Amino acid sequence: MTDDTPFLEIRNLTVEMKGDAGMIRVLDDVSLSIRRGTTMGIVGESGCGKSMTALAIMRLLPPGFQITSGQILLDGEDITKASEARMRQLRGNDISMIFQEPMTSLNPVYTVGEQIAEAVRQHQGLDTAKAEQRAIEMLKAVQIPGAEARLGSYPHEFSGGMRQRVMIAMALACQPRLIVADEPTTALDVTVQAQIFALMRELQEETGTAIMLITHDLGAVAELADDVAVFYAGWRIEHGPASAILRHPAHPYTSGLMSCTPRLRLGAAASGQGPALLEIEGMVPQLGKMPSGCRFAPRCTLADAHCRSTVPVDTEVEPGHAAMCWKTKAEVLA
Amino acid sequence: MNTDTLAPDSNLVPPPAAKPDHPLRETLVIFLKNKAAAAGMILLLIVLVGTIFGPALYGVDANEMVWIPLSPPGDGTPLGTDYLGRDILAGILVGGRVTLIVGAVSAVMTIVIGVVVGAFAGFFGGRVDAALMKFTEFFQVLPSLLLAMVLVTIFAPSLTTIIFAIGVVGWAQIARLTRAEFMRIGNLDYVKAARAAGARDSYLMFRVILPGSLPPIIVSSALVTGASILFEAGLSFLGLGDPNTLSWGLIIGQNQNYLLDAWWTVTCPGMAIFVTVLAISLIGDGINDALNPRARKRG
Repeated sequence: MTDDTPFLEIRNLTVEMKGDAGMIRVLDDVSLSIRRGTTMGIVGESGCGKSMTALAIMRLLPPGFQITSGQILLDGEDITKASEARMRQLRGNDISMIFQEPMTSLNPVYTVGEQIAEAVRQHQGLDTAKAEQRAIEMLKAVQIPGAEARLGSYPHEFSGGMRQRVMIAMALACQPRLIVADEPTTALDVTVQAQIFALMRELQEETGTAIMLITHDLGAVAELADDVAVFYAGWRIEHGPASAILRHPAHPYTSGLMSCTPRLRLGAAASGQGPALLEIEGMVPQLGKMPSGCRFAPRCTLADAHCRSTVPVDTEVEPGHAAMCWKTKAEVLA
Repeated sequence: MNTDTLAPDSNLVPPPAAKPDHPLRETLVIFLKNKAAAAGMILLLIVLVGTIFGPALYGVDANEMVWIPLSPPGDGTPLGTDYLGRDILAGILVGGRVTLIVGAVSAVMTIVIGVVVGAFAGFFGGRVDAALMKFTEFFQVLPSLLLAMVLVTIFAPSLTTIIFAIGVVGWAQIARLTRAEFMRIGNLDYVKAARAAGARDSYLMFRVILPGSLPPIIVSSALVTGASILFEAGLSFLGLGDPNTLSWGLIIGQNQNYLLDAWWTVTCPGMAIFVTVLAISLIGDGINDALNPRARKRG
């Protein structure tokens, strides 16, 4: 159920934070769009603005942060201007969010059944019996064994992976059209990660929901994402189809990220010297202390004087695949 | 090497674990095993049964002159008589009703005001918090007994006024406690998740955050109930109680001039207050130990 019209379109979004010395830009002129039924992977180091983008979409930015310009169009409706009441309608119903920490994202004092049913009751006005029925269906959909019996269990009786399934069940209960998953598997071990991804993909095929997957794990992106946007220091520095970006990244930061990912080599490849695991030297620049030219220049091996003085422009390297880099055409990167 | 513990499928098939208890049931078990709390429960039960059924069973009118005034215990009446010849035991049995009702109702009032003020301050933060906390501090810095006395004096002393006065002076602590709990829990992930699921503020405050912040509130509620009973007794002793309704404090207050001649007129109702407040405190400590795993280890 893929459809080429964007369901979520972010246009030139800028988010600023009140700092000691005026406003500090946290997100700078970010644009991206997610088509119906597809998954957009948002990649970047910690503190690059990934989660801020998610919270801006939910309009749940922490106090002191605000959207200062740009639009967030949800199915054509600009939600940066929506009323708080309208946002409450949208949250949970049209846009759901899956959080990073399944261990703490469920309320310890209610059973999982109550928590799923509550979301349905609030948004869809189902009565208690129907809401409970829906909760059972959802627990079955996320493959929790013995769904009927588990309905009355408390979160502490579930393992991390099971709780994240419950979170997904809650997120999906109202059949949202967009799910924002903020590092949904970071807290889980690898086998459980794979199960959760398989489950998310399966549910996406069934329901046609769009997913915004925030992660710093390129493996997760390779697994799930149709499109990728790479964030660095509040800029969206590269975007395009996942296959294109993973095969030939156009921004040195992206290729740097990829060479930081260890690969398990088996069989014939296991013998002999593998490529060394690289790292990107340096740190993400501090908010409010951004370098004047390209923000990645201080850490970039390709940077020259031009990079350090002038902000790069978004350059298309192939249809639908663009990078904010002066060097992207000049050098072979991957 | 012990192969038994390393059976190949031992970590694939987890043993069928017994369904864990509901957390509240575990708490209840710990509470009931606590000897001090059990003693408190028994004492409070005796007090409750005594005040509810005692007057009917004993059958002596507490306001009637039944014997020689100021006669000692055992000499005609079990606990002696007061300066008007009224039976002290009958007075304690009947007066307990008023004392307990005033204590309980004003405790409820204290808790409700405190929780609501604290919840709004902790949930909304910022200016709401600053304004509400200034308001709370205003009540905290005033000497509470003096404020209650002023309130009771301005309005005629009646049960309603006394309950209102005790409720108004005692809520500040509960408000501070609730505010702190709301601030702590408001930042937890499950509250953020509920917000992201479209919950409205009232739902977040009273259905999501409040249940999590109840344990310390319950514990201090027990203490507040004890304090309210003492407060009522104090007001009555100072002659600010409702003169038409017999309470433990009133018996002490009316007989204070005979303290040195007839100790029983003051000591017996005093003991009743002491036992009741002690029982409630023991129960409060028991709840605290049961709800607070860190405190639990000590005992």
